[in-house]
Amino acid sequence: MNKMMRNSSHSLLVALMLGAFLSGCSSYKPRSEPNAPVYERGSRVSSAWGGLAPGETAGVDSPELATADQYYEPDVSRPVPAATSPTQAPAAETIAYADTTTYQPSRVTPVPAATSSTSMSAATKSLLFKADREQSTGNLTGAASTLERALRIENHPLLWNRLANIRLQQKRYSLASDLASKSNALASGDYALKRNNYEVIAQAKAAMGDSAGAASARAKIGN
Amino acid sequence: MAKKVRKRTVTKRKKRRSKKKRGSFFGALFKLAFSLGLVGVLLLAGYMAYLYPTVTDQFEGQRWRVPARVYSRSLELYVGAPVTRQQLTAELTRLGYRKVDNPRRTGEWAINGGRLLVRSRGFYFWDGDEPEQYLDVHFGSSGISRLKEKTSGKDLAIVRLEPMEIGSIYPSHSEDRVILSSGEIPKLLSGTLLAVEDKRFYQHHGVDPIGLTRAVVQTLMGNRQGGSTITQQLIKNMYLTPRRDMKRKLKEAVMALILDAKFEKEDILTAYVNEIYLGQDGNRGIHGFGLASYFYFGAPVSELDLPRTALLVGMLKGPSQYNPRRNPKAATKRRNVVLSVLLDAGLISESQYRSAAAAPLGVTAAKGGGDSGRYPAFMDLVRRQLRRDYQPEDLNSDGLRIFTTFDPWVQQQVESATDKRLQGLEKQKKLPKGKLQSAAVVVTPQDGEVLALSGDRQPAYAGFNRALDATRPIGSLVKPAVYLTALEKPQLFSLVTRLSDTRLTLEQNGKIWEPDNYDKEEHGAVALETALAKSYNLATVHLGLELGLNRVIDKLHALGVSQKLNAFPSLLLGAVELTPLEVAQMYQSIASGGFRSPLRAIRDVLDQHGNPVQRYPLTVNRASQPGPVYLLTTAMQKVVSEGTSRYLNTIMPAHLNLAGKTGTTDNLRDSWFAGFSSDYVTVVWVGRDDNTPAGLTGASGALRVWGDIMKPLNPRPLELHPPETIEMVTVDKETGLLANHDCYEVETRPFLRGYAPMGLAPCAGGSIDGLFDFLNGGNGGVLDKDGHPDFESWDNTGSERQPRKSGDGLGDFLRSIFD
Repeated sequence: MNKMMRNSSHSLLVALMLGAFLSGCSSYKPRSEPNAPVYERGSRVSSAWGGLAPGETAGVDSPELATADQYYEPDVSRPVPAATSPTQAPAAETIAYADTTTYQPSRVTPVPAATSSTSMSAATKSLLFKADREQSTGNLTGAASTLERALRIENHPLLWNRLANIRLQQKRYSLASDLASKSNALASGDYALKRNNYEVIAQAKAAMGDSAGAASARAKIGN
Repeated sequence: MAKKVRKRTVTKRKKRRSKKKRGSFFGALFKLAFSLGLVGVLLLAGYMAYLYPTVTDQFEGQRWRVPARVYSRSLELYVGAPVTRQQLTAELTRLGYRKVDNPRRTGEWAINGGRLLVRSRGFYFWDGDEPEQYLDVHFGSSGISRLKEKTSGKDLAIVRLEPMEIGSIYPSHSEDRVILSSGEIPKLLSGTLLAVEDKRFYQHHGVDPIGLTRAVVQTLMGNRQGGSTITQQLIKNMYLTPRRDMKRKLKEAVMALILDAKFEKEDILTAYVNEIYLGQDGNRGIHGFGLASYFYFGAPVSELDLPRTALLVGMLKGPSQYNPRRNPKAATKRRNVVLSVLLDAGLISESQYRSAAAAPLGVTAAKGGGDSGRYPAFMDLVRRQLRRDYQPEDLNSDGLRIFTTFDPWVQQQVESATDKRLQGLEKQKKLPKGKLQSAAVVVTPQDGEVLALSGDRQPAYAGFNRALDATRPIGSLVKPAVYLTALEKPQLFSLVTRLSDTRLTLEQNGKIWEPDNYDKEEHGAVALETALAKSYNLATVHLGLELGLNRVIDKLHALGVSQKLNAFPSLLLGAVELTPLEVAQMYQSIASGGFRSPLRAIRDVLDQHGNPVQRYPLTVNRASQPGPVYLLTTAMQKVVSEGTSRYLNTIMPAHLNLAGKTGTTDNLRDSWFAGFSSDYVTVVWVGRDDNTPAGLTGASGALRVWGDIMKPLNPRPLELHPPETIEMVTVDKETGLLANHDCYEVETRPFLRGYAPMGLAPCAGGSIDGLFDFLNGGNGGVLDKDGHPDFESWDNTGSERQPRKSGDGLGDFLRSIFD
């Protein structure tokens, strides 16, 4: 230890010299930049827990089943979805809507919250309005997430309907159709809401090439 | 080392004496020393140049491998939320909030009459910021009755608390950290740290000769003290082995000089705060003050007060020796030494010192900071889902933040119910002690979120995860799939359709199979819903064979059973081996009205900067039609109200209208119960690992555990929304035919619209026609070209009654004779 003491005053000097000599290099960065992972989902749809949960067959637009939303613009290596199969919906809302080869759903006019939300709790309503704001600014993923949060609080048909509309806008047709059916199952007396749900189903079925299903749903809109 | 120092000091003194005596020698010695010094300086410069890249490259490239952190769901507070005061208290405790008389600082709470006052922490959720607030929460009989901002008195619509960290995932190494940036290090912490460990940190150049001298002097006086600077300690932690010899000491000093010369003091201090070792949790090292704060106090470092900061800094001297959980006395003493250093340095006042030295240690009983060992079964599920979606390296180094569906409150009920009940059962049934095993899964009905999971009767035991990996025959749990298949054929089956509960002999796989009822009795003609409620095997086998095994198998797949199933008749009585998680999926599909949502344990994944990476969205798939599922569910409510699970009505209010099904396998090997309220689908299995008889039926085993889990959760009543395809019709109990006011024993039951019995019961003056209808299994209906009911037409026609289609059953045959 006293060896160090003897050395230390000299080494101070040396350190200063070396320090001057060595300075000018880049400063310390304790954390490197994150390499934003791009997680590729193939069309393979595995079961929920690596074989434990129900295996989903990769049907026409089933990629949404056990897959995740993508936030990032997919990189170029991502296989271009839906070019040949108009029913295969891209999962991310960032994917261009300008792809004219795919079916373009006309936007379903949403049911005004005021007409169907009367039985809703204040908490759910506040989330519904938040989702509406998010949807109007084009933040569909945020709106969907907010609606899912609201659904955890209240199993309300209007929430399912709104989620169905967002999925339709995202071209996730099969999911949109099932969500609209789910809304219908709960919407017993609310005919405006049911009409809207059938409209979503009709558009989704048409987009998936199921013209009979679309016609059948359209027929119900008139009822 | 102390000995060595003493020796050398003695030598020095001798030298000093000799200097006086032989002054002429001084010149020569000086020359020698100068030459030696010059050589030393040159050697040192060479050594530094040699070490330089090692130090700088490693430090610059230093990237603490932050594990992926896993969080629970966040508790939502709003008026009407079914959150009791007890539950909120438990949540706050788990989150490391401190109970005080008058909350003044973030992270404090108080009880005020019947309400709770909470200074909530803010939290950045990817979909928005949840600000810090002063909450005033009132409770009513069913949960939160009022929610206000305390200061302004403004009503709040909805607030979420921050989620709890439930574990971290770091597959390749066992270090863990909560990284603090320079700005996040509280002044109190850095001040205390420097006062105790390195007073001259901002003055010295990596090595402190003055501090070292003082240390040597103190050590000589029998008051052993370390002379290492913070820079040296950091070097020791980052680069060197724990070996303590002179060579390593020298290397450490040289490296410290380089580090100090090259980098900013703030960077060195920040690195130290994040790097230093502060304890051990199993094979996980607790590194850095950020994690240590959670680990010992369950709170972020920004919330630490003087005594707790002093304790952490004091522990640097010996994290094991001064471990406040194991050695509270030594830890208190050490903390107070640190406090006295602060007092002597004039950093705190006498009164601050006195109150801090008298304060309790403030250590939480449970280890905080993502103790992965606490919820091994659920973490296992999260890992499996991640393994499917991520490369191990991504998980390892990117510091992902994973937001799950895990509900610690529900988990707590699962954990406190299981082992206690199993011990009771072993005692009551005189079973060998400790042999019963159990697994439980709780999911949400509407969106398939996994709330809680236990894979062992000792839930903290991270061994075989029975909830995910134990495939066991499900017994009568399969029956709802059989009955749903039947109810989807409304022209043949309604809830009151009579089934034949009589013995039969079948050949299966070249062997004779003679199923029997549990009570070994035949019950003759029984209503379909009664056969399910009482779990009659013979009626179910007759029914399933009539439906066709493949149809039943298709229905099981639609409900979420993924494995290949063999079309043997014994399938109808549950010769299907599933895990509790798969059963939960199947029952979720039923509980949600026929919409299967693939079970999820993860909602969102964010990167370490809080940017969203992935979402796992809520999905639904139509598994059946709402009408038949509604009928099935009412029959499953009868299982509880008058069937095999009546026990539940003795411990929970009948108005909950719970639905469920018991399952028991041959020789009482497996005991199952799966059931749901409107907010929870819960599946429990009880049995033995060696597959020997457990001595329990579904009702005497798993059902009891199920009740113990569900009762404290205060489930919401199962309110079924009858779809428009359903109509209510009053029928005669005896025959299941239409009743009128002349009938005494009647009941009002749901039917698919257009498929209620049309014939009058004999008590209502019914003719033989009514009986024909009954024998035909009810009514005709709209069939599609394959003879299946046309569900779309039900949706389509709303309240219109369907035209009847003449059947070709026994009734028509009789009718033709009478005609």
